[in-house]
Amino acid sequence: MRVQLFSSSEIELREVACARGGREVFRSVHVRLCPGGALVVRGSNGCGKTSLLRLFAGMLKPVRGEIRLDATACYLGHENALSRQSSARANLEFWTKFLDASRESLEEGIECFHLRSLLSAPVSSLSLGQCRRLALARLCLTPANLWLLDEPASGLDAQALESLGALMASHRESGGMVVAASHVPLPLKDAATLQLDESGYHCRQDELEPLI
Amino acid sequence: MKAFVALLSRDLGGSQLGAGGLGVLFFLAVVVLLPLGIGPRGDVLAQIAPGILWIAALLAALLGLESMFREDFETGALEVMAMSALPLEAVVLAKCLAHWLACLLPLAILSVPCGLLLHLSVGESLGVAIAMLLGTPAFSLFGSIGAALTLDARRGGLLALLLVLPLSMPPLIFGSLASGGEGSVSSLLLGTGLSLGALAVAPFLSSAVLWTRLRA
Amino acid sequence: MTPLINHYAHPTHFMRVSGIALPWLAVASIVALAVALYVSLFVAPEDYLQGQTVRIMFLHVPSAWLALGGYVAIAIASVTGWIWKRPLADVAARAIAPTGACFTLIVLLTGSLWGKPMWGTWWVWDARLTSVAILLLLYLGYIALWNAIEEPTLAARAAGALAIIGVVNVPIIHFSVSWWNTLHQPASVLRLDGPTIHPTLLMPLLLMFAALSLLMVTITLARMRLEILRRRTRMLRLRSAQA
Repeated sequence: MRVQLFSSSEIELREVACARGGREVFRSVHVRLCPGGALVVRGSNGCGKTSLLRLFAGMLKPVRGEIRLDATACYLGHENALSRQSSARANLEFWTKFLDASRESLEEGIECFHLRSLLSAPVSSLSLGQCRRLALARLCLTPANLWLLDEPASGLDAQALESLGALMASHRESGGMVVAASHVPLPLKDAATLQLDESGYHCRQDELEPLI
Repeated sequence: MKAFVALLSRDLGGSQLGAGGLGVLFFLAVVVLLPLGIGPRGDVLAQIAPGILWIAALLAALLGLESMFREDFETGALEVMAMSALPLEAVVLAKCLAHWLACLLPLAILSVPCGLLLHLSVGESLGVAIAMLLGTPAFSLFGSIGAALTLDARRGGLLALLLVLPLSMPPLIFGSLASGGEGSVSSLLLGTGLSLGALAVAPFLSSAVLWTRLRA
Repeated sequence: MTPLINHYAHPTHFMRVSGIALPWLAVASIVALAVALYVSLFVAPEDYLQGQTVRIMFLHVPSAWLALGGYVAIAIASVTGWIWKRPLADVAARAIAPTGACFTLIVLLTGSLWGKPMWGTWWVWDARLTSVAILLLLYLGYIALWNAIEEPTLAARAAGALAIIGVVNVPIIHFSVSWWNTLHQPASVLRLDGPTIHPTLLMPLLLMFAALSLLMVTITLARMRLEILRRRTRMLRLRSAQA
């Protein structure tokens, strides 16, 4: 399905600490991610999962430590970036044009998340999970090789979760990387886990081998 | 460029369209109510018409500011845009252009018939329209700064109005002076200069302000 | 020099030093204000042209200097806070604003009171007067923006940007209004800068300026201490909520 192969890129967080609202949420985080790798970030509410993703995305600066990032990132946050007044189709077509993606990749996204029957509905009439599927379809539109997914499975049914798993697998096969924060188990094979502790200070990443 | 056009056409068709329609209604209401409040004397109306048209245009433009960034900020779309290949400055510019096309261009065109209703001559009405075409972009551009500053503020719309009012005073002064009479050509040039200056400065300022919000 | 500034820019040191200085400053500004008021009300002679109304000027002119100076100080503090990431500079910028706004209001009110007997009108749309009115608007917008945004660092960035824009804007407004004025009506009687000020009138003016400056510094320091304490309680609340 996906043909492009990303040049060997690598991501590394070294001794990174992050503060929010004058409070340190975590410190000494070590992460290394190679092409084809995946990382699941776990931890209780407010332990800094979203902050970590935003550090990856370059939307936050660490208070200590260094981040090496030779990859282009696509960040999928809590919000779905959908305009409520317009239809699902209008939203998808806007993002296709805005992200300068081809129509084929849009079709791919529609097929992948079974969105065809939803296209004409206004976004305001869609359920939480349906909106999430629309947002996830944006992953097919971006050329980025690092996907940063914040609770990607929230509201998804079993079928959609399977689709997401297949999409992430094909992304990794072509050398892409996935970092996901999630409370529910994600269909990510051989993913490393980063546990952000409740106290927020102690972190570890399981041993990680590149897939390719 | 494709992204710029996509954003422009979406904003024009979506959020700004409603604000623009509301602005046109507001503008027409002012023009109709003015003679009822002032009295029907032609010479009095003609004397204050350019100023009134400009004030109505300014207030109508401020109506549309709230919808410039707020929805995209709340839905997370602004974040996606900020991380896309299109620079945030260009996103701001597209949004200003959409605001101007939806909220101010119709008023510049409408000012010709409305000027005639207020006893301006055809030439004077055209003068008001030309001055508005050249001078009102400053409202949209300075307005974007106010809209960016009050992105997640309580009662942001009203606050944006208070912040933008001092900024929009020079364009208003030059604009209404440019609409006819003595010194109108140099006022027109100064008003256009303000629009160009705003074009050079405002997208950078607004996107700098937006970045501080997005990176927080 | 820089280590010294770093030392005193730290909120803890600032709280200690300002706590010692504040009572002295308060007493000094009250004494200075009493002296300045006595000199300008009883010692200074009345003007041969303006009569007793000249005494309004002793309050009006220093207030105008401080109103303008306060806004410039806010802009400088904002730039400092932005570039060198000094929270104390943001605290100072916020603390100056209400005092500056008060002085702007005093300028407008005393100007009106002086204008009625001298010019025969409460208000004219002269460049200087309009600019001061806009300055009041800028102050109010600045204060409102601070109050509208919950998170202090965000509020500091937004308000700082506004202050810098405002400082650039005031001269533009001044120019545009004087341009507008020359087209509408030639400014004739509305020139304040006539003959040079006589030393007997300059003395109370400078005294009052010194007294009001002292007052402004005192109030600003007190408000800065208040703001720091407010931030500390906010931080404690956040911490206890997350612990």
